[in-house]
Amino acid sequence: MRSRFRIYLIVPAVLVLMGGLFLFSGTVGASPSIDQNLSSTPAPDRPGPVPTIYPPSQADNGAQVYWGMCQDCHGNEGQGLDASWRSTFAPESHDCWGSGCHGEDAPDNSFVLPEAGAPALAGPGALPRFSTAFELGTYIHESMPFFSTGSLSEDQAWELTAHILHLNDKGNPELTLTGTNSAAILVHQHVNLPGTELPGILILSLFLVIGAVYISQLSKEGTVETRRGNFFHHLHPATIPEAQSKFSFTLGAGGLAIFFSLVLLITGALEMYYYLPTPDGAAESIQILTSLVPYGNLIRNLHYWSAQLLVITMMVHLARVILTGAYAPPRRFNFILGLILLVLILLLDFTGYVLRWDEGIRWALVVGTNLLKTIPGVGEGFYQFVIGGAEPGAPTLIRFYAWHIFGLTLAVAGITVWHIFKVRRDGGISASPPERGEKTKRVPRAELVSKEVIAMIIAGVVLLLLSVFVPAPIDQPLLENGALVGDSRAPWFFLWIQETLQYGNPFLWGVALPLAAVILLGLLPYVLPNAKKEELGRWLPSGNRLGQIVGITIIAIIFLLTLLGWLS
Amino acid sequence: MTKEITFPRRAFLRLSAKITLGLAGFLGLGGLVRYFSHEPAGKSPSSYDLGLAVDFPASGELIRLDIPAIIYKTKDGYIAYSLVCTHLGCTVEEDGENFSCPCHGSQFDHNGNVLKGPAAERLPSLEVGISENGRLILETGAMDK
Repeated sequence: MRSRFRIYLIVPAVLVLMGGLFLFSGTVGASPSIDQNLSSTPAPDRPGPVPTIYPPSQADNGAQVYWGMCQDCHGNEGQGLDASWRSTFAPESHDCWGSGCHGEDAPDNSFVLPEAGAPALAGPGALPRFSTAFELGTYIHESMPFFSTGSLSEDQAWELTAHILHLNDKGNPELTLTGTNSAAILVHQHVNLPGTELPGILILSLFLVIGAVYISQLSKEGTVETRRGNFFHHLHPATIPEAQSKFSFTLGAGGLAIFFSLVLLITGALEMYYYLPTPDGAAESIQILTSLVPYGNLIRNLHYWSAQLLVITMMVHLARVILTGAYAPPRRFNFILGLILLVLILLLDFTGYVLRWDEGIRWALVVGTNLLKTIPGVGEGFYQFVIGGAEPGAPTLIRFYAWHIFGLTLAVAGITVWHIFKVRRDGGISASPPERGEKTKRVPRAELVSKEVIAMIIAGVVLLLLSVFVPAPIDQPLLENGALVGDSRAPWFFLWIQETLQYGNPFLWGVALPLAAVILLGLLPYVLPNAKKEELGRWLPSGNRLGQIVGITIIAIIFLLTLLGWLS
Repeated sequence: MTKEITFPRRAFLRLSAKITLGLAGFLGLGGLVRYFSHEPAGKSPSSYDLGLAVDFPASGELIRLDIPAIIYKTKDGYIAYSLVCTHLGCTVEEDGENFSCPCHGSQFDHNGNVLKGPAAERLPSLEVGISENGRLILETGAMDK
């Protein structure tokens, strides 16, 4: 018995040691310690010129130029002048700076190598200063090769750009890069998490899962609140009826929405330390956060994914409330609060989306704000209030920023607290009253809290894994006159409005109709018959059948339109 | 039987949950430290072009507030001092023959020596060189701005 305990304790201890090592040893990009390990392996033969097929593509030509001029410093695979690449040189040349070829004592026919060496051209975090192929090509043409700047022809510069894009798995053999089309090609889109960050995240997830297992075992032991409850216990009623705590009834959607909101608050606050809300700095600061800041990509992806999942969770929550008739009095005002929260969250999603200030948001911003103009009478004034001027510009960005991090967030925080308070004031989650003389089974809050903790851990691990493997979208910075590129689709949570906009008058289809849908939902408990008291607490009560049909039809239409927009 | 199990299952589970979740929190905290460890690129330049030597003001004195520094032309060559107060970094102002700091009243003489506290150290002197094409180059090294 004793030894088993010891194993339980030793295994996590070893795991955390390993996790700590991974966490603190790795750096973004190439790490010197790793390079040294590689250099101890025998030096492979230097590779020969790259074979090309006929007719050679632009990148193939670039590979030839690269082999002749760039490879010695930037590495055969664009890895940069790291130790493993230098180990392929003759032994006396391993130290490029001290060997007398490229140090302070460089001979006349050579040049002095910068102390930092030559940067990597491929891999995560490479080429951070170039957002488009145009910038990269122009830089190569003007400033490369280092020892003879300006000696490359323009064609050679584009060939090299094509080759470097190919090294980064972003090449397109069909396309011949030129000074005009290259502005639309991204250099570092979709940077995945650096490999060195992965073990730390996975070990963190593992700990969370093990912790959840312990807690679930603990709650199987039966919960006896021996001490006075802690802060988290006190957020709950002492006991709640068992019927209200059933996952098959609540789907856990309300609780999950709160969890995602908390994740959004924390990751959003962290993002604010790096985000620059200026037209010139915004997209670049997101590139830096994504590709250079340790765990910056993770934080951004967590923020992105909790925002997407929050919208979905809220829709599920709404559908659950309608299909169980839970909005019947006394809960009908809380139903309105929930609908307001849904609208506010959609606005938060939209403002957050625009804050990227890259080419991906151009048309969403134009269409989204022009829709406001179509409102009769107040439209023009409302438009100027939202974007802070006659047309989108620097004031637009700062206003969206203010709404996103302050105005809307404050409103959502306040109404969320009100919503939760009302849940308790209205007698908890809807359930039928006990039959006469029957004693309701009640669940103590300690058990409720442990259930919630387990649910949060599962959701948290799903979030972490999603964030590791599916990066949030990012695009090149907004161009002054960038009408030639950009995704013209609305963000997915507004695709349904984009679909309806095709049918005609923008005010009618783009503003009035969505507003009418929300108002119609809000009227359900006030206009149509409600579920009877004894019917509450189960799915599909007969009392509000009409409300269910109307509500689910609205949700289904939104869902179908979104799907249509997605597929088109 | 003797009381063999001194560690009840409930207490053990409670402790284990606390330890694993605590370790997870520790890992998260480590990640947070790394998140804030990013060093943004960009430092202030370490040398400044002061223009052609022949264009140096006839008064023999040049103040460049962007650096900030003061450069004198003497018969032995050029002398330059940083105008950053060594107390807490305000830019000192010319006050007759001396320099005084508007923030906390430190005073320095013409040669940068401390006349009056709270500054404890003199104004650092900076190197002025002349480039091949006759331009004055001020070397600030790793000067704090």
